[in-house]
Amino acid sequence: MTREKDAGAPPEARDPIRLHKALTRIWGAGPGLARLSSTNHSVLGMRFMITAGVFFLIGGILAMIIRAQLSTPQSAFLGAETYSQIFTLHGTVMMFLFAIPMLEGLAGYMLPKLMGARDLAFPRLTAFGYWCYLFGGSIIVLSLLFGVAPDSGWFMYVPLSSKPHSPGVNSDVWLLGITFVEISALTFATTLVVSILKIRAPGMTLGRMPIFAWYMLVTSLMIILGFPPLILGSILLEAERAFGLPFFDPTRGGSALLWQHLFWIFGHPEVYIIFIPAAGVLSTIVPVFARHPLVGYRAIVAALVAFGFLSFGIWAHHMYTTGIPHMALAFFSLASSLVVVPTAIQIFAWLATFAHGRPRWDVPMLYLFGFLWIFVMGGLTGVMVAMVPFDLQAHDTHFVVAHMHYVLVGGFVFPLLAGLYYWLPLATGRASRFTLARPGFWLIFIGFNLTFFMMHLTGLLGMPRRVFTYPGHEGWMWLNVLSSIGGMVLTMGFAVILADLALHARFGRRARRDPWEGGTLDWAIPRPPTFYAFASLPRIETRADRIDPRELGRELAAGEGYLGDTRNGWQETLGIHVTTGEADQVIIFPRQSYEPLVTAATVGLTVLAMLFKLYPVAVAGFFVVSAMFVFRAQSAGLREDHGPLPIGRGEAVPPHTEAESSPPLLALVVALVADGTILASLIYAGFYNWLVAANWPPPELARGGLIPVALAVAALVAASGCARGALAALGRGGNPVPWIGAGIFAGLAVTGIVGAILAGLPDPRSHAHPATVFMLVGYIGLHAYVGLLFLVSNALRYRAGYLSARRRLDLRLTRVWQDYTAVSGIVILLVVLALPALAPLAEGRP
Amino acid sequence: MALLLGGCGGPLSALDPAGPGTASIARLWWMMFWGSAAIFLLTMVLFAIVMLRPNWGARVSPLRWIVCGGLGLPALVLPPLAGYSLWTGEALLPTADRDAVRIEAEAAMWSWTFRYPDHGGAETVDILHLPEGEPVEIHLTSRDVIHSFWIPRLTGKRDNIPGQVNVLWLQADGAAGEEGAIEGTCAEYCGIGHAAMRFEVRVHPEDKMEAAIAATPRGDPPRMRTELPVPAGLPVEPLR
Amino acid sequence: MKEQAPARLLWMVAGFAVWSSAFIVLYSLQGLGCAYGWPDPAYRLVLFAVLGLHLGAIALLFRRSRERLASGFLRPVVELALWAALVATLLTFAPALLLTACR
Repeated sequence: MTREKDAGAPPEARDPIRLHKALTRIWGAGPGLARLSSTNHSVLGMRFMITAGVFFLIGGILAMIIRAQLSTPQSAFLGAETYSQIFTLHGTVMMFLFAIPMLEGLAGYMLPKLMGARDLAFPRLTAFGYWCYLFGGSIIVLSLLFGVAPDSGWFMYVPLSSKPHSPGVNSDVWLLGITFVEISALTFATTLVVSILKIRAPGMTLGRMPIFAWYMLVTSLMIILGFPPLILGSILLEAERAFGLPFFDPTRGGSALLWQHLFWIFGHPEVYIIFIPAAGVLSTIVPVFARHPLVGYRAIVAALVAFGFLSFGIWAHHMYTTGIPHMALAFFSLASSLVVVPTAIQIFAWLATFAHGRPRWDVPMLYLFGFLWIFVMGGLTGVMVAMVPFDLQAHDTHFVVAHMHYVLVGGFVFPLLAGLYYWLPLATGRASRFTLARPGFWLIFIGFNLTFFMMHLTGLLGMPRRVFTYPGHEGWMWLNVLSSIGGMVLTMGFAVILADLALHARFGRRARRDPWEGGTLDWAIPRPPTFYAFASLPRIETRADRIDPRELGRELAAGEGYLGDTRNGWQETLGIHVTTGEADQVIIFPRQSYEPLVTAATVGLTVLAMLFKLYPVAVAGFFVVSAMFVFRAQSAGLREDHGPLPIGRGEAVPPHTEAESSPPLLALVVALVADGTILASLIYAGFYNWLVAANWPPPELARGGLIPVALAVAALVAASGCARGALAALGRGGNPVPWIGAGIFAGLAVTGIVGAILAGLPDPRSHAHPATVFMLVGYIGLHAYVGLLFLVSNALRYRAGYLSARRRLDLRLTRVWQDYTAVSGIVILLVVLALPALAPLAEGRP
Repeated sequence: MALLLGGCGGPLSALDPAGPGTASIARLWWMMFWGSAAIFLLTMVLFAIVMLRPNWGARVSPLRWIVCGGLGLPALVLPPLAGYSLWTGEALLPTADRDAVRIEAEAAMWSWTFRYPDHGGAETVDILHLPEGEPVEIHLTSRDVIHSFWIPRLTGKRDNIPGQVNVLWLQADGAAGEEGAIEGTCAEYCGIGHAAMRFEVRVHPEDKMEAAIAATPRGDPPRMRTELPVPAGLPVEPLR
Repeated sequence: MKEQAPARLLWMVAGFAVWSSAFIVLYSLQGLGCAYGWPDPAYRLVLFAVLGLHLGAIALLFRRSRERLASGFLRPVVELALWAALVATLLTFAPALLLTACR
């Protein structure tokens, strides 16, 4: 079995062609339908980007319909009902199905190539995320064909979106579909965090990372913290719609504003989540066209940290008109103003780079100019709407529509097009023709400004958002006509770009290596990229945007770097120590498989079952999916101890199964941060309703009961203790199965006690207070259940020989999970004990 | 630009103040507009210079570029702007010591009901009567979903939210007797009748208020409402 | 090896974590105070005291970071982030605490 070849053979013995063939045999994604099983980052990244591009076109067509309807007063083109579905879907598609997946696809495609790695940390999870995105997005878009598309706005404000006012399935499509897509975003973000921290070329310390990796690290962490509140909000709203748990119903102790808080705690960071990667693209391109390394690398990294945090302190600036007291509004207003500073630092770092370089002009620069023009304007109107008094006028008018499109199109679409033209030669291996890129740019640029500049004015003249028509005496007509004409010009511009891409793919000449004279690793690989990206992995001794890809590319192709040979048919890449950047493990990826597709399809069917209210089918689907995850885990890892494996350059490191800090462990911690954010949001929801909602205190208090709570705490602690016992036993070379058995027993006890507590609660449909307690206690039950899945998988894998005293990863994961379950469970139980004491205090509110 | 300065009028224009609220906000807007125009030009000129005259910008060290542009410029602009804006915001708040007239505005899908407890407790639908030159406190509630009460010519908007009462302070100066000069609208999307949820504002001298309210026939549709195609499924009675 | 522990990366977010804490605590106290009608001067002083504590915490982080972090890439970045957090904490909250609290 261990036919290890010596990876440290002298370089001259290697033949690039032979190495290419050997690697392609191992990494190749197969022809035809076998592509569906691919887990490769290039295949999946491209697939994400193309799918997002298709959704962009769909969203664009919807926008054209909107502009056609609004171009004249009292237009009879669309009815109010259709219009509401179209504008809701336009926003939803552009934000959730275009922008986020597009940046994920770009990051997935580029990051391994920029960081000198052969793939992302979790290829199968990435594939699973893609299918979730495709299925969830399709559910949402196809609903339009059946006339049941979401129609309450992309922000889904309650009570408009709740059952009494939206009795149809429309809101459920949004809530379930978007949550499905967000799971994909979370898995992808987790993958990116771990990939950036752990899977880089040896020697690439944090301070040498290509700057794009920093942007994506911050973005991914923002997704990890920003998406859970909306996921929780969606779950609560769906629970209210489907089962009557009244979290947002003011007649039963809920609050309509709670939804807005949960939505915008997600929604505002979302805007920066979209902008930051685009800025990362620009920071990659600017030095190439300035012919000078990026200045202010450290200042930019610090600015990104500030950016990431400040963007969370801004959420209520979408809520200035809701009656929040002025002092609280000022927190948000001032934080919104402060966000200008990191943005300005970025822009002036780019200007300084140009100032110190020898700038040259080419097509990507044209789009950079478009970005600067439009984004600066959008940023300035952003400062305006951050000012409370002005926002009281501008809020919910076309002024905000204009601002938002200036920021998002300027801050995302233009940098993206710059990146597209920059990396096109890499992706296709063909030199750009650019005959149509320039007219395309001018059409987009002029069309965009015509469309959206006018909207500032219609907004100031009082045109609210989301009106499907207007009488026509308000003075909005000519501005709307101009906007609609601009929209057509803009659309023509995108059509020209599409034509340009088609011509490029058909007629482009073969590109030479590094056509732009960039200094990053992505240009050191074959064009178009091979599945394995790097034939051998480089060692990085300088900042990773100052290398010479031409020379390095030849060396790597000849196998002169790390892992310059194949071993056991493994898909290998190197894991490094997070801060020192030294190689500390060989990561062996699982082979491509159809499992991600099958699992995602099953999740999709479960979502559809919930949509059609076939709850028994949904429950069955839930258990099938859990079983699939356990089953999927059975084929990962290695059945033998290998000890240090030679990786070339005279170094040897263990495989990831035996390494101290393996990627899955880091991924679990990251995922638990997201999970903890969901819990924090739920606790926040409970306290928020207690503090501000009408109709408190509740008719009947939800008491956990001291004895059940004490028993639950004991069982949680026992389960965590068993996980530690099992890990210690395995480490001593002993048998962990008795401990695992005891852990299963403790886990069953937790679920039993949780069930008893739930059964003893007052009807959760009666008031927001018992409903919140129901969800909190249910959270413990769900985690105990997942803990059981971990334990079953551990037992099976121990028997199959995947675990040993050196390969303890599985049990370490279980220990982390059970510890989290115990700690979060105890926090929840304390909250549950405290709430009945607090609830009557609500009477004291004046 | 001419369009911008010339065409600021209109019954829903936020740039055509008919009261102190909108007047102060419009002042803030024009300040920000000119300031933004200057900063935009500065950025574009800097970009043009660094692209066209590479040596000019190289005399300034990268650190100085970032500190002056990234920290200095915002430090110069933002504190005065934020201070002025917070000060303006304080002045817009309803204050307890003002001897304000109380009017209630209840929103429902898709119409406005106004009550005048200080003027005999009568009720009007989709037509709001305001006393000229008097501070007014509008108490905002909703019977169903979230709506938003907005009279752009008088002051900023505030939401009508089920389960809570929001208070908005405003004052109408002049425009008394001018029919159709001031309109209001629902600003928050509230379902398919949102576009039709407009109302008319009529300003009267304080002593003529009660007579004007009493003379408003119920169900008299305001001017702009009849010109909108009524959406299919619009219920005659608001939903409970 | 301790010098290079991956947990050192948390220093980069330490300052703004304090800013976040100040945000959460002040926003919650503001909500509580308004809901229960706490008397104004005392209430405002409590808010200022909380802000002061958070500023102090960032100052403490400055001292600690100089002791704990060797020079290299991380230290200057952490220092910049701490400065940013200190200024952001002061500017986000101090002016706001002077305003009308409950309307």
